[in-house]
Amino acid sequence: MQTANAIRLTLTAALAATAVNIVMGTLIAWVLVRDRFPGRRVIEFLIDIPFALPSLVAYLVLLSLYGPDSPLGINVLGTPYSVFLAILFVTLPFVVRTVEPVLMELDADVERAAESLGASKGATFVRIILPSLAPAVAAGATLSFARGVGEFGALILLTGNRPNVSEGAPVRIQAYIETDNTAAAAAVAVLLLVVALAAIGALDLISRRVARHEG
Amino acid sequence: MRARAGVRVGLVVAYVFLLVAWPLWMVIEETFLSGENYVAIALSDPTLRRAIGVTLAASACAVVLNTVFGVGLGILLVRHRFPGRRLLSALTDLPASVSPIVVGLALLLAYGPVNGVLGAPLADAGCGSSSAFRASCSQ
Repeated sequence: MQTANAIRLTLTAALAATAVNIVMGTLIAWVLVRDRFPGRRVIEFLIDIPFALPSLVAYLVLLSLYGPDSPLGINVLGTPYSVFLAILFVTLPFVVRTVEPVLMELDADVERAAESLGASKGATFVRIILPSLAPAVAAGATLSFARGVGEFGALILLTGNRPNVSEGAPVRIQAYIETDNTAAAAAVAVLLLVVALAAIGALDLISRRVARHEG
Repeated sequence: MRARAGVRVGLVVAYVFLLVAWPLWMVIEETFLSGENYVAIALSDPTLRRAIGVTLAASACAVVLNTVFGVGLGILLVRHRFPGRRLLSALTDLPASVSPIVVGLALLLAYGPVNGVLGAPLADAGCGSSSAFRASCSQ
């Protein structure tokens, strides 16, 4: 039961974080590629921080602002939101970094053509830009989901690991290993493995579909 | 149009600031600006120094192995067609998307010094297990 709850929490949090990443990641990529503003390079640099930081450090970093001593008065320690926040932090770069190159390659002439033919800004975005971005967004989202399900370092410390409340599946595996129950640990591990493999399979399908479109 | 760009940029800056910049700054502030020189204090602990040494050595080992096997694997996957190529390609992606704890468990079961299948003969191969993991991380 506890394990089922842990798995459910991990999957829900990873899905929610992926949903946020799809919107915010695309927006960040858009701003970085299309808009020029002071501090753009700083943002560019900050995006990669979660990649470079070990996830245990990510925990320290997040706890400083969203822990018990939070200057904002937000304390997620020991709540299910901590799992979501930890996953959100470590998966920030995925969608941004997959969408960015595609956006750079996107031909601005096509957009201008659409506009000169009378399409509104919104219609241009939905009919012209979004379809060419979709595969990249999907690829980034898949990676971020897989990484989110597997996230361990930030989870184990930030969440407080209260059974049934804020305990994620990877932490459950560690608990099983520590009590020398390798068979149970392996069972949960296989489940996460299957999720990761499914994500990779989906990614493979997406990239092959894209290749077919281009070919 | 300019107003809309402003909203976009503002939203992104606020998001990245709240999620990365501010939390990061608070850790830096606590380390360097809260009076004591905590970096010097931490580094004076020989246990920590050794831990950092182990991490750096394992990473260096992994980089070398990764470069050799990564390039080899890359050439193999791109230049050659053979049965199981797609499976190999999927397996190459696996360590990047699977939980580190799952990787750890798998390696423990295979290379653990006590009950690992391959572990006993390899028990004293210094950087063996961590670099094996890193090697499979690369593409």
